[in-house]
Amino acid sequence: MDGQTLTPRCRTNFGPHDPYVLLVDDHEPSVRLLRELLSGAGIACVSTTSAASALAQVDERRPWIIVTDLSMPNLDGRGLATWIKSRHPSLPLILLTGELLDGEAIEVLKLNFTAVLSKPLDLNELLLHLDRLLPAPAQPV
Amino acid sequence: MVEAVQELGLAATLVGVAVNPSKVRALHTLLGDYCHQTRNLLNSLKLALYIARQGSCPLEQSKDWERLDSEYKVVEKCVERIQAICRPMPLATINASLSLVMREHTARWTTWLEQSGRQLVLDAPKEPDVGDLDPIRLSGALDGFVNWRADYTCCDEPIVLRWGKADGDLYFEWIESGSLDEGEPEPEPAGMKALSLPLLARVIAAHGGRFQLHQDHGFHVAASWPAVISSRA
Repeated sequence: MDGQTLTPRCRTNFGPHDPYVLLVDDHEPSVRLLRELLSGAGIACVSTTSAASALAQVDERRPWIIVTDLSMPNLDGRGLATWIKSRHPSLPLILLTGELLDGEAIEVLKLNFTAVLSKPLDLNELLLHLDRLLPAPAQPV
Repeated sequence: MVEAVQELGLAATLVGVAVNPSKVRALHTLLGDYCHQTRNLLNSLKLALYIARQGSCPLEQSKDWERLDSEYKVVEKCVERIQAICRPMPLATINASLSLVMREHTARWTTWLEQSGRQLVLDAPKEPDVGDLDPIRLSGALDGFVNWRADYTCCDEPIVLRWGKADGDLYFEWIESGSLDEGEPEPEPAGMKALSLPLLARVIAAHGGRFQLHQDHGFHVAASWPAVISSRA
Protein backbone atom coordinates (compact mmCIF):
# COMPACT_ATOMS: atom_id res chain seq x y z
CA MET A 1 0.00 0.00 0.00
CA ASP A 2 2.90 2.28 -0.64
CA GLY A 3 2.66 5.50 -2.56
CA GLN A 4 -0.81 6.96 -2.58
CA THR A 5 -0.27 8.78 -5.87
CA LEU A 6 -3.67 8.82 -7.47
CA THR A 7 -4.37 10.14 -10.91
CA PRO A 8 -4.70 13.90 -11.29
CA ARG A 9 -8.32 13.60 -12.41
CA CYS A 10 -9.99 15.92 -9.94
CA ARG A 11 -13.63 15.71 -10.96
CA THR A 12 -16.14 14.04 -8.69
CA ASN A 13 -19.33 15.16 -10.48
CA PHE A 14 -19.96 13.15 -13.61
CA GLY A 15 -22.39 13.73 -16.43
CA PRO A 16 -24.49 11.05 -18.16
CA HIS A 17 -22.25 11.15 -21.23
CA ASP A 18 -18.88 11.05 -19.48
CA PRO A 19 -16.72 8.04 -20.23
CA TYR A 20 -17.03 5.62 -17.36
CA VAL A 21 -15.53 2.42 -16.03
CA LEU A 22 -17.82 -0.55 -15.46
CA LEU A 23 -16.83 -2.58 -12.38
CA VAL A 24 -18.06 -6.18 -12.13
CA ASP A 25 -17.54 -8.34 -9.05
CA ASP A 26 -19.91 -10.66 -7.21
CA HIS A 27 -18.21 -9.72 -3.92
CA GLU A 28 -20.28 -6.65 -3.09
CA PRO A 29 -17.93 -5.04 -0.51
CA SER A 30 -15.01 -5.23 -2.94
CA VAL A 31 -16.86 -3.66 -5.85
CA ARG A 32 -18.41 -0.99 -3.64
CA LEU A 33 -15.08 0.02 -2.10
CA LEU A 34 -13.36 0.00 -5.47
CA ARG A 35 -16.07 2.25 -6.90
CA GLU A 36 -15.59 4.62 -3.98
CA LEU A 37 -11.82 4.71 -4.44
CA LEU A 38 -11.96 5.24 -8.19
CA SER A 39 -14.65 7.91 -7.86
CA GLY A 40 -12.44 9.64 -5.30
CA ALA A 41 -9.64 9.54 -7.86
CA GLY A 42 -11.86 11.33 -10.36
CA ILE A 43 -12.91 8.33 -12.44
CA ALA A 44 -16.60 7.87 -13.24
CA CYS A 45 -17.72 4.35 -12.34
CA VAL A 46 -20.74 2.13 -12.47
CA SER A 47 -20.65 -1.12 -10.52
CA THR A 48 -22.56 -4.37 -10.81
CA THR A 49 -22.36 -7.67 -8.94
CA SER A 50 -23.00 -10.05 -11.83
CA ALA A 51 -21.90 -10.51 -15.41
CA ALA A 52 -25.55 -10.59 -16.51
CA SER A 53 -26.24 -7.15 -15.10
CA ALA A 54 -22.96 -5.96 -16.60
CA LEU A 55 -24.18 -7.02 -20.04
CA ALA A 56 -27.42 -5.10 -19.49
CA GLN A 57 -25.40 -2.05 -18.47
CA VAL A 58 -23.24 -2.29 -21.60
CA ASP A 59 -26.39 -2.44 -23.72
CA GLU A 60 -27.72 0.64 -21.98
CA ARG A 61 -24.53 2.69 -22.34
CA ARG A 62 -21.17 1.48 -23.55
CA PRO A 63 -18.45 1.88 -20.89
CA TRP A 64 -14.95 3.05 -21.73
CA ILE A 65 -13.35 0.18 -19.83
CA ILE A 66 -14.63 -2.91 -18.01
CA VAL A 67 -12.89 -4.14 -14.85
CA THR A 68 -14.18 -7.57 -13.96
CA ASP A 69 -13.61 -10.33 -11.45
CA LEU A 70 -12.75 -13.76 -12.87
CA SER A 71 -14.66 -16.16 -10.63
CA MET A 72 -18.36 -15.36 -10.53
CA PRO A 73 -21.41 -17.62 -10.44
CA ASN A 74 -23.17 -18.40 -13.73
CA LEU A 75 -21.30 -16.26 -16.27
CA ASP A 76 -17.71 -15.72 -15.13
CA GLY A 77 -15.12 -13.14 -16.22
CA ARG A 78 -13.97 -15.27 -19.16
CA GLY A 79 -17.54 -15.67 -20.43
CA LEU A 80 -18.22 -11.99 -20.01
CA ALA A 81 -15.08 -11.15 -21.99
CA THR A 82 -16.04 -13.52 -24.81
CA TRP A 83 -19.48 -11.91 -25.05
CA ILE A 84 -18.10 -8.37 -24.91
CA LYS A 85 -15.38 -9.02 -27.50
CA SER A 86 -17.93 -10.46 -29.95
CA ARG A 87 -19.92 -7.21 -29.86
CA HIS A 88 -17.41 -4.55 -28.85
CA PRO A 89 -13.97 -5.81 -30.00
CA SER A 90 -12.18 -2.59 -29.06
CA LEU A 91 -13.58 -2.31 -25.54
CA PRO A 92 -10.70 -2.86 -23.09
CA LEU A 93 -11.22 -5.36 -20.27
CA ILE A 94 -9.13 -5.62 -17.13
CA LEU A 95 -9.31 -8.85 -15.17
CA LEU A 96 -9.06 -9.13 -11.38
CA THR A 97 -8.51 -12.58 -9.97
CA GLY A 98 -7.88 -14.24 -6.63
CA GLU A 99 -6.56 -17.35 -8.32
CA LEU A 100 -2.85 -18.03 -8.54
CA LEU A 101 -2.27 -18.24 -12.28
CA ASP A 102 0.89 -19.46 -13.95
CA GLY A 103 2.46 -17.68 -16.90
CA GLU A 104 0.74 -19.84 -19.50
CA ALA A 105 -2.74 -19.23 -18.06
CA ILE A 106 -2.07 -15.49 -17.92
CA GLU A 107 -0.96 -15.46 -21.56
CA VAL A 108 -4.22 -17.18 -22.57
CA LEU A 109 -6.26 -14.65 -20.58
CA LYS A 110 -4.39 -11.76 -22.19
CA LEU A 111 -5.94 -12.72 -25.51
CA ASN A 112 -9.15 -11.15 -24.22
CA PHE A 113 -7.93 -8.96 -21.37
CA THR A 114 -5.75 -5.87 -21.58
CA ALA A 115 -4.35 -6.57 -18.12
CA VAL A 116 -4.61 -9.36 -15.54
CA LEU A 117 -4.29 -8.16 -11.93
CA SER A 118 -4.31 -10.27 -8.81
CA LYS A 119 -6.46 -9.86 -5.73
CA PRO A 120 -5.89 -8.36 -3.22
CA LEU A 121 -5.60 -5.50 -5.61
CA ASP A 122 -2.71 -3.09 -5.89
CA LEU A 123 -4.70 0.09 -6.40
CA ASN A 124 -1.86 2.04 -7.96
CA GLU A 125 -1.30 -0.68 -10.55
CA LEU A 126 -4.97 -0.53 -11.53
CA LEU A 127 -4.88 3.28 -11.65
CA LEU A 128 -1.90 3.18 -13.97
CA HIS A 129 -3.79 0.95 -16.40
CA LEU A 130 -6.95 3.06 -16.19
CA ASP A 131 -5.02 6.26 -16.67
CA ARG A 132 -3.44 4.84 -19.80
CA LEU A 133 -6.74 3.64 -21.22
CA LEU A 134 -9.07 6.50 -20.30
CA PRO A 135 -9.24 9.63 -22.46
CA ALA A 136 -7.18 12.57 -21.20
CA PRO A 137 -9.13 14.85 -18.84
CA ALA A 138 -10.60 17.89 -20.60
CA GLN A 139 -8.47 21.00 -20.15
CA PRO A 140 -10.17 23.95 -18.44
CA VAL A 141 -11.07 26.75 -20.87
CA MET B 1 7.70 -19.73 20.48
CA VAL B 2 4.41 -21.61 20.80
CA GLU B 3 3.27 -20.11 17.51
CA ALA B 4 6.49 -21.17 15.80
CA VAL B 5 6.11 -24.75 17.04
CA GLN B 6 2.48 -24.80 15.87
CA GLU B 7 3.53 -23.53 12.45
CA LEU B 8 6.18 -26.20 12.23
CA GLY B 9 3.64 -28.84 13.26
CA LEU B 10 1.21 -27.72 10.57
CA ALA B 11 3.98 -27.53 7.98
CA ALA B 12 5.23 -31.02 8.83
CA THR B 13 1.69 -32.40 8.57
CA LEU B 14 1.18 -30.72 5.22
CA VAL B 15 4.35 -32.40 3.93
CA GLY B 16 2.41 -35.68 4.13
CA VAL B 17 -0.31 -34.14 1.97
CA ALA B 18 2.01 -32.41 -0.47
CA VAL B 19 3.80 -35.61 -1.51
CA ASN B 20 0.54 -37.47 -2.24
CA PRO B 21 -1.07 -36.46 -5.57
CA SER B 22 -4.58 -37.62 -4.61
CA LYS B 23 -4.43 -35.68 -1.34
CA VAL B 24 -3.15 -32.62 -3.19
CA ARG B 25 -6.11 -32.79 -5.57
CA ALA B 26 -8.53 -33.11 -2.65
CA LEU B 27 -6.86 -30.21 -0.85
CA HIS B 28 -6.99 -28.14 -4.01
CA THR B 29 -10.74 -28.72 -4.26
CA LEU B 30 -11.33 -28.09 -0.57
CA LEU B 31 -9.17 -25.01 -0.34
CA GLY B 32 -10.06 -23.53 -3.71
CA ASP B 33 -13.33 -22.01 -2.61
CA TYR B 34 -11.99 -21.12 0.82
CA CYS B 35 -8.99 -19.27 -0.61
CA HIS B 36 -11.20 -17.48 -3.13
CA GLN B 37 -13.42 -16.18 -0.34
CA THR B 38 -10.40 -15.28 1.77
CA ARG B 39 -8.87 -13.32 -1.08
CA ASN B 40 -12.14 -11.46 -1.60
CA LEU B 41 -12.22 -10.56 2.09
CA LEU B 42 -8.59 -9.49 1.99
CA ASN B 43 -9.29 -7.47 -1.12
CA SER B 44 -12.10 -5.54 0.54
CA LEU B 45 -9.94 -5.09 3.66
CA LYS B 46 -7.12 -3.69 1.56
CA LEU B 47 -9.43 -1.33 -0.32
CA ALA B 48 -10.93 -0.20 2.99
CA LEU B 49 -7.42 0.50 4.27
CA TYR B 50 -6.72 2.62 1.19
CA ILE B 51 -9.86 4.64 1.88
CA ALA B 52 -9.15 4.97 5.60
CA ARG B 53 -5.58 6.03 4.89
CA GLN B 54 -6.69 8.71 2.46
CA GLY B 55 -9.05 10.11 5.11
CA SER B 56 -6.63 10.09 8.02
CA CYS B 57 -4.39 12.93 9.17
CA PRO B 58 -0.64 12.74 8.48
CA LEU B 59 0.30 12.05 12.11
CA GLU B 60 -1.91 9.00 12.24
CA GLN B 61 -0.43 7.69 9.04
CA SER B 62 3.05 6.93 10.28
CA LYS B 63 3.64 3.92 12.53
CA ASP B 64 0.08 2.64 12.82
CA TRP B 65 -0.32 2.47 9.07
CA GLU B 66 3.02 0.80 8.62
CA ARG B 67 1.99 -1.81 11.18
CA LEU B 68 -1.43 -2.36 9.59
CA ASP B 69 0.14 -2.60 6.18
CA SER B 70 2.73 -5.06 7.44
CA GLU B 71 0.17 -7.25 9.21
CA TYR B 72 -2.10 -7.17 6.23
CA LYS B 73 0.71 -8.36 3.95
CA VAL B 74 1.45 -11.25 6.33
CA VAL B 75 -2.11 -12.55 5.90
CA GLU B 76 -1.95 -12.07 2.14
CA LYS B 77 1.33 -13.99 2.00
CA CYS B 78 -0.13 -16.77 4.12
CA VAL B 79 -3.03 -17.30 1.71
CA GLU B 80 -0.65 -17.17 -1.23
CA ARG B 81 1.53 -19.89 0.32
CA ILE B 82 -1.45 -22.15 1.07
CA GLN B 83 -2.66 -21.78 -2.51
CA ALA B 84 0.80 -22.44 -3.92
CA ILE B 85 1.01 -25.81 -2.17
CA CYS B 86 -2.16 -27.25 -3.67
CA ARG B 87 -2.36 -25.61 -7.08
CA PRO B 88 -1.51 -27.61 -10.21
CA MET B 89 2.24 -27.66 -10.70
CA PRO B 90 3.33 -28.36 -14.28
CA LEU B 91 7.11 -28.54 -14.54
CA ALA B 92 9.37 -26.93 -17.11
CA THR B 93 12.33 -29.26 -16.75
CA ILE B 94 15.75 -28.91 -18.27
CA ASN B 95 18.71 -31.26 -18.15
CA ALA B 96 21.20 -29.36 -16.05
CA SER B 97 23.73 -29.61 -13.27
CA LEU B 98 22.14 -29.47 -9.84
CA SER B 99 25.35 -27.83 -8.61
CA LEU B 100 24.88 -25.06 -11.14
CA VAL B 101 21.40 -24.35 -9.80
CA MET B 102 22.57 -24.51 -6.19
CA ARG B 103 25.60 -22.29 -6.77
CA GLU B 104 23.36 -19.56 -8.14
CA HIS B 105 21.80 -19.20 -4.68
CA THR B 106 24.17 -20.46 -2.01
CA ALA B 107 25.89 -17.11 -1.48
CA ARG B 108 22.56 -15.50 -0.63
CA TRP B 109 21.52 -18.40 1.60
CA THR B 110 24.82 -18.22 3.44
CA THR B 111 24.27 -14.51 4.06
CA TRP B 112 20.74 -15.07 5.38
CA LEU B 113 21.94 -17.68 7.84
CA GLU B 114 24.94 -15.62 8.90
CA GLN B 115 22.55 -12.82 9.80
CA SER B 116 20.97 -15.24 12.27
CA GLY B 117 24.36 -16.21 13.59
CA ARG B 118 24.34 -19.54 11.80
CA GLN B 119 26.85 -21.12 9.48
CA LEU B 120 26.04 -22.97 6.27
CA VAL B 121 28.46 -25.67 5.18
CA LEU B 122 28.13 -26.63 1.54
CA ASP B 123 28.87 -30.26 0.72
CA ALA B 124 28.98 -30.22 -3.08
CA PRO B 125 29.66 -33.36 -5.13
CA LYS B 126 32.96 -33.96 -6.89
CA GLU B 127 31.23 -36.03 -9.57
CA PRO B 128 28.92 -34.56 -12.25
CA ASP B 129 25.34 -34.14 -11.05
CA VAL B 130 23.48 -33.51 -14.28
CA GLY B 131 19.82 -34.49 -14.43
CA ASP B 132 16.27 -33.33 -15.09
CA LEU B 133 14.95 -30.53 -12.92
CA ASP B 134 12.77 -27.47 -13.04
CA PRO B 135 15.31 -24.81 -12.02
CA ILE B 136 12.74 -22.10 -11.37
CA ARG B 137 10.45 -24.15 -9.14
CA LEU B 138 13.29 -25.92 -7.38
CA SER B 139 15.34 -22.84 -6.59
CA GLY B 140 12.24 -20.82 -5.70
CA ALA B 141 11.08 -23.48 -3.23
CA LEU B 142 14.57 -23.83 -1.75
CA ASP B 143 14.81 -20.07 -1.45
CA GLY B 144 11.64 -19.94 0.65
CA PHE B 145 12.76 -22.91 2.70
CA VAL B 146 16.19 -21.47 3.55
CA ASN B 147 14.68 -18.07 4.26
CA TRP B 148 12.39 -19.75 6.79
CA ARG B 149 15.20 -21.72 8.42
CA ALA B 150 17.23 -18.53 8.70
CA ASP B 151 14.59 -17.21 11.10
CA TYR B 152 15.80 -19.60 13.78
CA THR B 153 18.87 -18.99 15.84
CA CYS B 154 18.50 -22.22 17.72
CA CYS B 155 21.96 -23.72 17.86
CA ASP B 156 25.63 -23.17 17.30
CA GLU B 157 26.11 -26.21 15.10
CA PRO B 158 26.65 -25.43 11.43
CA ILE B 159 23.96 -26.41 8.97
CA VAL B 160 25.04 -28.81 6.23
CA LEU B 161 23.57 -28.60 2.74
CA ARG B 162 24.63 -31.62 0.74
CA TRP B 163 23.63 -32.47 -2.80
CA GLY B 164 24.66 -34.67 -5.67
CA LYS B 165 23.70 -37.59 -7.85
CA ALA B 166 23.58 -41.22 -6.72
CA ASP B 167 21.96 -44.38 -8.08
CA GLY B 168 20.31 -42.50 -10.92
CA ASP B 169 18.74 -39.93 -8.61
CA LEU B 170 19.51 -36.30 -7.91
CA TYR B 171 19.32 -35.49 -4.23
CA PHE B 172 19.88 -32.88 -1.58
CA GLU B 173 19.96 -32.98 2.19
CA TRP B 174 19.53 -30.23 4.73
CA ILE B 175 20.97 -31.19 8.09
CA GLU B 176 20.50 -29.09 11.22
CA SER B 177 21.63 -30.35 14.58
CA GLY B 178 20.13 -29.10 17.82
CA SER B 179 16.57 -28.60 18.93
CA LEU B 180 14.08 -25.96 17.84
CA ASP B 181 13.11 -25.58 21.52
CA GLU B 182 16.48 -24.07 22.28
CA GLY B 183 16.00 -21.13 19.99
CA GLU B 184 13.80 -18.15 19.54
CA PRO B 185 11.53 -17.32 16.65
CA GLU B 186 11.91 -14.11 14.73
CA PRO B 187 10.24 -11.12 16.42
CA GLU B 188 8.21 -10.12 13.34
CA PRO B 189 5.16 -12.09 12.18
CA ALA B 190 6.38 -14.75 9.82
CA GLY B 191 3.25 -15.14 7.71
CA MET B 192 3.49 -18.88 7.96
CA LYS B 193 6.92 -19.05 6.40
CA ALA B 194 6.92 -22.64 7.63
CA LEU B 195 4.61 -23.43 4.71
CA SER B 196 7.69 -23.24 2.53
CA LEU B 197 8.43 -26.75 3.83
CA PRO B 198 5.35 -28.47 2.30
CA LEU B 199 5.80 -26.31 -0.79
CA LEU B 200 9.31 -27.70 -1.21
CA ALA B 201 7.90 -31.20 -0.68
CA ARG B 202 5.30 -30.50 -3.35
CA VAL B 203 7.96 -29.41 -5.83
CA ILE B 204 9.96 -32.58 -5.18
CA ALA B 205 6.79 -34.70 -5.56
CA ALA B 206 6.08 -32.96 -8.86
CA HIS B 207 9.54 -34.14 -9.95
CA GLY B 208 8.41 -37.70 -9.16
CA GLY B 209 10.68 -37.77 -6.14
CA ARG B 210 10.75 -38.60 -2.45
CA PHE B 211 10.80 -36.13 0.42
CA GLN B 212 11.58 -37.04 3.99
CA LEU B 213 11.54 -34.93 7.12
CA HIS B 214 13.16 -36.06 10.37
CA GLN B 215 12.93 -34.00 13.53
CA ASP B 216 14.09 -36.58 16.09
CA HIS B 217 17.58 -35.13 16.42
CA GLY B 218 17.57 -31.66 14.99
CA PHE B 219 15.95 -30.89 11.66
CA HIS B 220 16.81 -33.05 8.68
CA VAL B 221 15.30 -32.92 5.20
CA ALA B 222 16.23 -35.47 2.54
CA ALA B 223 14.89 -35.10 -1.00
CA SER B 224 15.63 -37.06 -4.16
CA TRP B 225 14.13 -37.49 -7.62
CA PRO B 226 14.95 -39.40 -10.78
CA ALA B 227 17.69 -37.83 -12.87
CA VAL B 228 15.57 -38.77 -15.87
CA ILE B 229 11.98 -37.69 -15.28
CA SER B 230 9.37 -39.61 -17.25
CA SER B 231 6.60 -37.62 -18.89
CA ARG B 232 4.10 -39.05 -16.40
CA ALA B 233 6.02 -37.79 -13.36
